[in-house]
Amino acid sequence: MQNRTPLTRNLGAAWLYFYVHYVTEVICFFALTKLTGDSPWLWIAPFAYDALAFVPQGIIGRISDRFPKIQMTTVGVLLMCLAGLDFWLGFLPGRFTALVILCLGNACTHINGAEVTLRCSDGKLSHPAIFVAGGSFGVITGKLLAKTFVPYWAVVLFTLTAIPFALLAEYYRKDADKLDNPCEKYDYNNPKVSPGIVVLVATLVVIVRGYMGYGIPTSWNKTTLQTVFLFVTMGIGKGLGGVIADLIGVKKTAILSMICALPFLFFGDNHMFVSLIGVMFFSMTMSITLALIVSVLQKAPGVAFGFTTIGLFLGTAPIFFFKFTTTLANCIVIAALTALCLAGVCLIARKDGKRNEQL
Amino acid sequence: MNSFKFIVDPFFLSHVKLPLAVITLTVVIITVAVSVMAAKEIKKNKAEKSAREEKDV
Repeated sequence: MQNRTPLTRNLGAAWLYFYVHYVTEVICFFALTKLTGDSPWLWIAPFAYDALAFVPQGIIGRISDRFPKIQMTTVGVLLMCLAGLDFWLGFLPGRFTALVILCLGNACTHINGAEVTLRCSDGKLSHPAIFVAGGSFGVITGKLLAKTFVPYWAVVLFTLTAIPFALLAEYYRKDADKLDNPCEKYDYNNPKVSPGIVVLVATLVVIVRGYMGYGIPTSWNKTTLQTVFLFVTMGIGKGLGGVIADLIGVKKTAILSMICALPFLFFGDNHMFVSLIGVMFFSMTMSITLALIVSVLQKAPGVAFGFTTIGLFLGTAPIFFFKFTTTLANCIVIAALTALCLAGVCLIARKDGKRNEQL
Repeated sequence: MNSFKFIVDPFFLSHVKLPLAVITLTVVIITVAVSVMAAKEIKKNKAEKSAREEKDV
């Protein structure tokens, strides 16, 4: 354990959680796609899923911060398997029970993934970004599997394979936790702005980006293969965002990705490859807001991650109720929201290259 | 031309009022709770920082 370099440990934890995140999204989207095939569930199931999987992560994060010995991922995987078995056999009472259990399981694995990859990162963004990227590949795999003959029990067995990966990652986390404050190298916030404002503005940026993620004009997306391209590009963009931020700086990456995404998104409504470039740029800012919140909540990475997921839910919630009927109106709103996000990130992120005093 | 449209069928919405209300309430309670936790954590960090500065002086 002493001979392992931090880089090997950090990359190991990131890729192990890439897989755990992938598996988590596979079972969740497998179940969700099967459910929404049933008409009364068409609208309420994804909304309830977003609320119950995203929002409680702050609370679970707090528990995980305070009691690191609890193996949240193992708990989460077992909960998701229980939900999967209930979707298959129907032994639990109530129609929402399995969905609620599935959401809680999802939240537990996400929180542990964030905790482990943030602690095992030495202040770099690429490690949590690799973990986050795994989700996009899982979402599309789960959706596709749900349309095949694959039974629930097979997906449940596949989900169980995440446990050894999570246990190995926990071994890496213990190594990182030898430091008093493993997240102290996260200092990307502007020290002149109060920590409360940093959390608030970063969460608002996540809300706006959550909305935009669903509002991106993608008239080209009509076939299964095109949907696969969309999700794969999202995954690559999320991972790349962290890597580029480590290379050129958080602020530069945020500004560059937001500005570059706009023209590709607007003019790519009917052109898949143009749009995919925009989607990739757009996805790159995912890990940046997380890093900004962790910078002011260094000793509570679980709570910090919880803010980003609450923001994602609040951003996606309006999509279930309202929509723009014209592409022009949608584009105007997206441009205005991007300007707002840019202003927000410029305010709360410190200048690249400078390091803050220890918090 | 109105470019903004409500997309949920009111008849369907009336049937899911209860779960929607439960979800909304849960979201509000958890958001407030997490904000309070973060505020406490920030306060604790500030206190630790000033204690360290005093020690250095």
